[in-house]
Amino acid sequence: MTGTMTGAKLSLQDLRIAFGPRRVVDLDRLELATGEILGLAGESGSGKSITALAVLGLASTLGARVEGSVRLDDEELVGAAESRLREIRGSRISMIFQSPVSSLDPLLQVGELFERTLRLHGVRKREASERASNAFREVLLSVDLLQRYPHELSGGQAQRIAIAMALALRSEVLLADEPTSALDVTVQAEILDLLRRVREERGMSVLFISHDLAVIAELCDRVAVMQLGRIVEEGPTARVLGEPEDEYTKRLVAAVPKIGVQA
Amino acid sequence: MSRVPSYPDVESREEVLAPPGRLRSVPGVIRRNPLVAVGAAMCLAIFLVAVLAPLIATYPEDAGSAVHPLQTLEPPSAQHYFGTDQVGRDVFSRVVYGARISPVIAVLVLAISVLIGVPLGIAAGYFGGWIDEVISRVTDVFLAFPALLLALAFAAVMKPSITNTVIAISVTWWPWYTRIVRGQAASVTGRPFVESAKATGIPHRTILLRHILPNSITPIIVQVSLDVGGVILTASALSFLGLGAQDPTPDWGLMVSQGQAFFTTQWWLVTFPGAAIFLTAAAFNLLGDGLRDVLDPRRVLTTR
Amino acid sequence: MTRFVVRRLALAALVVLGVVVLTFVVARVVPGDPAATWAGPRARPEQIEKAREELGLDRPIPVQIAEYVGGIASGDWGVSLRTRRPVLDDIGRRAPASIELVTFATLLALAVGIPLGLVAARWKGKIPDVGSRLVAVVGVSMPSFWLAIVLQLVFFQWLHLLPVAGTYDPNLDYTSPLHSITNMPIVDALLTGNWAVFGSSLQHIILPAIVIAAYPAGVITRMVRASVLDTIGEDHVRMVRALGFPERSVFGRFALRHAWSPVVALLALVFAYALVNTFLVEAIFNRPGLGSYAADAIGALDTPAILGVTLFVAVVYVIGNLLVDIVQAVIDPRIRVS
Repeated sequence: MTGTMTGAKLSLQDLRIAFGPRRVVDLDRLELATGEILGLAGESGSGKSITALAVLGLASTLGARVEGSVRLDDEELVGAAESRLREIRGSRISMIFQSPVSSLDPLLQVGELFERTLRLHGVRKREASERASNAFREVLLSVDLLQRYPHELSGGQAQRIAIAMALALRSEVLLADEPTSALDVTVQAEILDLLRRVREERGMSVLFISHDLAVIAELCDRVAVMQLGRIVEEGPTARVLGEPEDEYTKRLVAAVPKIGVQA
Repeated sequence: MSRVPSYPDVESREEVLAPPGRLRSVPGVIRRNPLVAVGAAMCLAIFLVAVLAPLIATYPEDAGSAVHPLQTLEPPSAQHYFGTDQVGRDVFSRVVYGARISPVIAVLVLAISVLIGVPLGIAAGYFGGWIDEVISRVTDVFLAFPALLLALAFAAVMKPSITNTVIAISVTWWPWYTRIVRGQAASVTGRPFVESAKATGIPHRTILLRHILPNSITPIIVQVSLDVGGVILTASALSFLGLGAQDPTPDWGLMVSQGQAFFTTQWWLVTFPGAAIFLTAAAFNLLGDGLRDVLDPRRVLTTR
Repeated sequence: MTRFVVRRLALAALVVLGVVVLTFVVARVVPGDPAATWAGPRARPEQIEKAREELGLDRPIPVQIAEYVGGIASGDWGVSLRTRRPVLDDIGRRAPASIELVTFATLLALAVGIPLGLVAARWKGKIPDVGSRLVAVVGVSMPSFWLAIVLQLVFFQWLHLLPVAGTYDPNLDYTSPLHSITNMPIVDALLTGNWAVFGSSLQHIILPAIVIAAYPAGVITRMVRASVLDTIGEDHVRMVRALGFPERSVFGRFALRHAWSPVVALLALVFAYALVNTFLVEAIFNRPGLGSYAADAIGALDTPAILGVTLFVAVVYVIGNLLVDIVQAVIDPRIRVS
């Protein structure tokens, strides 16, 4: 069955990713609607991260083979020309990662990275500075931080900067790979808040990858649960986590420690 | 600054397909690095040549003090594959016997360096405090000299001989091992299980032998394999300058320096012994590279 | 940043002190009695005793060390047994030409090593990688004295392309004599506009520079390859790719900047090793410089000169490492903190 459902921003179909003879992802269908925050839950090794990289066409840099379909609006990305993919990376689909400080080039000031990236995507110099400053304000960071080096930043600041980059580039889709897993709980809450705002104010669609069901419950509209490369259950967050149908999902939910409840 | 790739959840193609465990598969290493197989083969060949020298050399007595005044400076021929030298000795036989000298010097130097350097490094890393300070400062001073330089200085003030070459190079080579092992020992010592072992009164000697030493072996092996080529080059440089083996010993460096005066017309005197040095060093370097790929692919353990 | 520099300076000074002491130790390893050597083979016992007093050998060791260190610091590095001149003077006159040669060789090594290392990293596992690594191994395994002779054989004797030895064509000393300012032939020729000598010097420096550049080029190639490959696996490179940068920028603009730091770290090592290599190579190419001075000293068992040169090169190495540390801190802001 081909073709996207109308309204789906990002649509993955029959996506198979393999390293040599070993298949790590075998996905029938996954769709992210416009303005939706979709959670992708699962344990380490379930294939969540490589799926996100495959959306951007970056799985091959790790030596993986990708087959199937990834559509952004109505454009097919699998097999698309590298030059087209490079246009899309950043400017239409952005990705943020688990270790925000180490994701920023340590030898560059934050502002330099912004400028280079914006210029790469065709933004003129003066507009680039403006966009950077505006984006920083949107994520509630002082514009001074543009002069800093990554090692001078906290995890929370760096992650905000990564999100600011997506905003400055006017991305429509944000792939967030465990963005809060390495952050303190209070900082985590701020980032989740920020993501909510970004969705409301910009209509950005977010694919939120995490092993932490509590965070997913907090943030995501819908959730898909991945196990060993396959999606075992999918649906509105409240339903999936409250009344899981699949065995694996039930085990995951049961394993989440609950405050105030002693086993 | 450690540089460990850290894509979460995701591995490179090679890591996914390689068998688990710290050692990567040997066939895999050879496939990805065909030069290593060449290096290993060359080392084997050199070993065989050295061991079978009396059988391979066409004129074994020429490797000693024989002279043949009627056959001096003859070009390569069917009787003398590499020609003859300025006193008529068969160059091929001398080169073959030379294969016994360089690798042996390297083995001796590295054995001495390890025997001196490793215990000092372990002591510095394990005991810390002023022991560490003293040993580290002394090591720093030795390492402030480029290796060949200090070896040259020592060799120049001693009588030229192979023994003194070994001594001179060993004296300059041990500090590398102290430095490497000190780092390893210090990091292992800092681990909780060693702390608790000390706390429960286990004697130092047991801890050192049972835990610290085994953990330091891998970097030592890797470093030794990488150093063989370097020691061979250093030793041949010393004998080229006249500070090492003396005539009639068929040392390759000595042969190059003896042949230098004739190189414009009798090119074979210099070319073959020098090529032997080059090929031997290259063989061990290739092998060392391969060993490092197997045991320490991330290069966190070695200094060079 | 200032604190960083000051701390490194203090450390370097301490190391230099240790180096001087170690040189003293080496000097005392000399077999036989230095006093007897100084006094001469036909000296009578009283004359040897007098020599011992003059040389200060009858005083306790710590005093001797202190005197030695004091002497070094005040410029008394002993007198060469061969030239009968103060060793420091000799070194001062001969070192510049070698430094010029080594600088040339280092630049050549960088010009070859960096691109080769980048190519190897970019096409890892494929033919360009294997080829580069082969070239690197060759460079690192080559005995310099042998390479020198072989190159002379090939390029002078057989191909008649390049001069065999010398710093520049000796006939030019009559037709277009060089006015020495810095004692570095090429630099002096440039400064005085002596184009004949300039051209001839360049011709003459090619072979020696290639010989000395071989080992550093190999080391630099491996370092750049390893460093770029390390960097490529890191998070920030993944980010840069995700932002849409093309592979050539990823390697060229982003990853290469990270390789500079380790390459700079290598430079001091490379420079010092190259300087020591001149001991082997300058005599073969008949170039007057620190290297041939050292080789002559070794041949003549001129201990003061040998030790003086050893000390000199070691100090150059320590200073080189210090400079390299500072440059690294400039390139990589993270180092200033550690």
